[in-house]
Amino acid sequence: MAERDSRAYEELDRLIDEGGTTHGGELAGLLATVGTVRESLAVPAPPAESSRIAAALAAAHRQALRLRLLALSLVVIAALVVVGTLGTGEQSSQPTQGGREAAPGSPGGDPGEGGGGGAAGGSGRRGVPSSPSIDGYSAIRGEVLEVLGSDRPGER
Amino acid sequence: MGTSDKQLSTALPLGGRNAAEASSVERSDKALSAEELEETVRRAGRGDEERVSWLFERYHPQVYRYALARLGNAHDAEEVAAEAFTTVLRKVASFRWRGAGFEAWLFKIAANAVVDRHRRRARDPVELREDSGFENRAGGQESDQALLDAERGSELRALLDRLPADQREVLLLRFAGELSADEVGQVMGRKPNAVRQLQFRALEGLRRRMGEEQSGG
Repeated sequence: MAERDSRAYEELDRLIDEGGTTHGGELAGLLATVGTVRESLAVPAPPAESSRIAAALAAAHRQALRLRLLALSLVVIAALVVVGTLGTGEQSSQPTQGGREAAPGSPGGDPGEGGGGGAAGGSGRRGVPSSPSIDGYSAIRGEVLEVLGSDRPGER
Repeated sequence: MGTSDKQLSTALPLGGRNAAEASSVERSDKALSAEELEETVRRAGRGDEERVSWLFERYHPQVYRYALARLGNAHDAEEVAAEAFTTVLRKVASFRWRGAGFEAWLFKIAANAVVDRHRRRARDPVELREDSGFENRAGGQESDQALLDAERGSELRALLDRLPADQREVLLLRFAGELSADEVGQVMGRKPNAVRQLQFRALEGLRRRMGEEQSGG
């Protein structure tokens, strides 16, 4: 019984796929039902939109691929910069020289002698590049120390 | 092995054709071999615009019909079809042919998009659902025959809705999606024989109910 059913299922499926027909019997009735179902579901897709959507989707797809490539390039560049900086940072890992402290009773310390060696300079520990404005910072620090120095107890 | 441009050029856009013509064109397009389709999908994954367009033109009508049959609303069906293709294009580069073919994969995505849309509808029931999408099949001709066909179609879809969910899904994937029993099995996670059995029973049930409707039962 089960085998007979199984054969009927396969036969119906084959007839559906091949567009075949059969005369009389249950299969003929089922194939007629298939025809009705197909007919009721056969609607054309929205015609005017399809080409436009296809073009838009293709463009979006290409854009996404480009963005992915760009992101990958940025990651690679960032990795190269980090690796390069680590190498340079190790070479210039000496702490930078700050300004000398004012001696007690003196008008104030000397202005700072400038920071590290520009881009290659750094805090010394990790080789992080020093800020390009470190010279300016040291000069200000020197001025501040000068002002502060006049307030020190030694001068009074 | 590669898909020739000649073969691709046979896939004409479906705009302006009636359903019967469109259906026959689609069936003839299906002659693309598995290897050719694989190559087309691979090239689409690399951003080949022509192949992307071909895949869209080739499969959009089927996905749209399937979505329309499940959702009963043209606007939702269009959106679901677009969502499904967006997902396909986003993931096509990583698609691998492991057992399931491209069509099964595409319809799995479409089926998930339909489920998502159902969920969204449940959360936001205030949506316009006036356009069932099946009204304009006669190309605007409102002849008696066209109206009669539309009415019959509407009745049949109501009968389809009353079938058990797995039986209805088989019929929709099979006849709206134009998938084979094997492909339907891949989409639904069933064996082909189980799909054939569901198909048989669905058609039996539908036929019986149609008979009952006609006899006024």
